[in-house]
Order: sequence, then structure tokens, then C-alpha cells
Amino acid sequence: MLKRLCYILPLSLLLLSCEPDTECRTANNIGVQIVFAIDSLQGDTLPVRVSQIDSISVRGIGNDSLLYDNQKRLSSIFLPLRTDNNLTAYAIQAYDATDTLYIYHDNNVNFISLACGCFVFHTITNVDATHRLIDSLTILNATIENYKQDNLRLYLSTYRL
Amino acid sequence: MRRLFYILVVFALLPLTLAAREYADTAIFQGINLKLDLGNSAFEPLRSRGKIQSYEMALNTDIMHRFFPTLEMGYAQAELSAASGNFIGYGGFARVGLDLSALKKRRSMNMLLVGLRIGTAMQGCSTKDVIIGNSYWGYSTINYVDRFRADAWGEITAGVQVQVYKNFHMGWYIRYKILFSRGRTGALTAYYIPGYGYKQDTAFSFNYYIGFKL
Repeated sequence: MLKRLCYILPLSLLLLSCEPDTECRTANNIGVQIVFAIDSLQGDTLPVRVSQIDSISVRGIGNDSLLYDNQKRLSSIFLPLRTDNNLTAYAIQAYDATDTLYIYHDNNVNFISLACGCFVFHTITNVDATHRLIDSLTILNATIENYKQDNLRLYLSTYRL
Repeated sequence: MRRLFYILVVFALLPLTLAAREYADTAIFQGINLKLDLGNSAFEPLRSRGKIQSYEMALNTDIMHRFFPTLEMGYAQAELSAASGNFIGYGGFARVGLDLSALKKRRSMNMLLVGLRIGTAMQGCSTKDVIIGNSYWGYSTINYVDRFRADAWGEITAGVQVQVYKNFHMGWYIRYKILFSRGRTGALTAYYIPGYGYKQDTAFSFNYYIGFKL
């Protein structure tokens, strides 16, 4: 009986193998989520109204391709940040005006796994913009990781709307 | 799975008390067994298409044909590729533990063995060409080279040993492994651990060996 076990069972076990997953199943959409708003004329006492933009185009400064191309009725946009630089700039065009949005950020490289590679998480250190379309900016959550949350609130100039 | 672990531990330790009384008048030291792993050495390169090599040997002391304090040592190396990087690691490992003969008849070299092990591995490893970036701004790669890593784990083993010729015997072990050093993440994470296998919380492995009683 033991001899049979000695010879037969190993052959069946040779068929077993347990290799780890080589496909990345971790969410890897990392970027800054910007919500649009119109500042209340009553100051901070009234809630901020979330605004939709009729048509918006967004392009990264230093990149020719458009991230948003005349997209209609958006109340938020999602912008990936540079992993090789601490400044990411975007040109935002809407209502016949173009503004440049500057996002200053730290990059934190995190090795996730061999299947996923490295994720670069960010911490927003400062934001700035030109003011044709954009009235002002507020940082809501400076930390940017691989889950979606509102990071910036972008107040639109009311006279453009 | 944890419940299974506890049940196996209890079953593995139960014969200790019985055997101590049963073998009170038997010579304690019954020899030393040297075992050379064949199955894993051949199987790993075959299964991984030459990317993993693992070699090991074991020494155990036969105490009253019942208890087998065991020392296992080996070397492994791995060169593995995945979608976002390449891993190279090489290092040694050792396991210490105890096997118990689970058969009533214990005079021959034929045995059914159950046991426990504590294993540790040390390796030098590199993770290269790790992809970083995003589709809009582009990708680049970074390397984590010449890292040192140590891991530890526990094992529950079960095996069979049969005499083939005089002092020669052969057999196999199946091992259920639980990684203790699983909490570490980041660039120091090893994709493959010598003596353990792919870095997962638990793993099964298998040894097929030929042995000689000294």
C-alpha cells in the first residue's frame, strides 16, 4: 500500500501548480478630480452650486492630444498628473476663453506588484491658474491615490456663463 | 483553512505522548537519514520552463523509529517576467522541524510521516523594468536592484517513505506552507521566495526524494 502511494500519488501531484496572478487587478486610474462650481455671491454661508460646463476642451501643456474634446455638460473632469515632474499644467478652454491650470505636486512611487508595476501617488502642494474663465481654486483633498475623490474645486467666473 | 491547520497540528502532536511510553525500553538513536530531493529539482525547471531552479537536501535523525528531527537546506533561483516588470532572485533556505511516524509497525524503513517545519530564506533580488507612468503623459521604467530580503514561514508536512534496496529508500512530501513575513510590501517584496515558492499567503509544494540511511 505504501509503495503504491509512493509511486502513484506524486505523478498526480506533478499536475498541480500554483502560480500567482500575472494580471493586474488593482485600480490604476490615478489623477486629479476637479469639480466645477460657481461661487455664491453670499459668501461661505450658502452652499456652493456645482456647475455644468456646456462645452469644454482640455489639453496638457507639453502634450498635443486633447483629454477632453468639446465634451458637453460636464460637472467634473479627471486629469492624470505627470510622474516625471512636480508641475503639471493644463489648458482648459470653455465659453470662448482659455485658461491655464497649474498643479504643483509631489510624486510618491509605490511598487504594487510585478503584475501591476509601480503606481505613482501624488500630493498636491499648490495650485494656480490664469483668470479668464477660472475665478479661483480650492484644494479639497491634496492626496491623490488610486480611488476617486474630489481633489480640487474650480470656481468659474460668473460673467462668462 | 486555519481550522484545518489547527486540526493537523493536534493530530501531529498526539502520538508524542503515546510513543514516549511505548518506546521506553528501545535504543534512542537509530541512525541518520540523508535525503536528496529529486522531484522538485526536476519539476520546478520543467514547470517554469527553466526560469526557476530549486535544489535541496535533508538530514534527519531517527529516534526510536518514531521521531525524526529534521534539517533541510537548499538553494533556489528565479528569473520571472510579468506585464509590468522582471524579477531576478537567488538565495538559500533552511527548514528545521520534526517528523513523526504515523504507522503502528515501525521496525522497517517504510513509513508514513507527518510533521511540522519552520523555514527561513535569504536572497538577493532585483526587480527591473518596472513600468511607471500613465497613458497620457507616457511611461518610463525604473529598477530596484541588489536588494536583500529575508522571509520566514511555517509548514505542515505529510509524506511517505519506502525502502527500495538495503539502506536506500525513496518517498515524497507534500507541504502546506503559511508565510509569516507576508506583511511587507513595496519594492522589497520578493516575487519568489527560495524554499517557499511564489510569494502568496499560503502555498502547497511537493518533494520527491531518494534517501540513504547512514
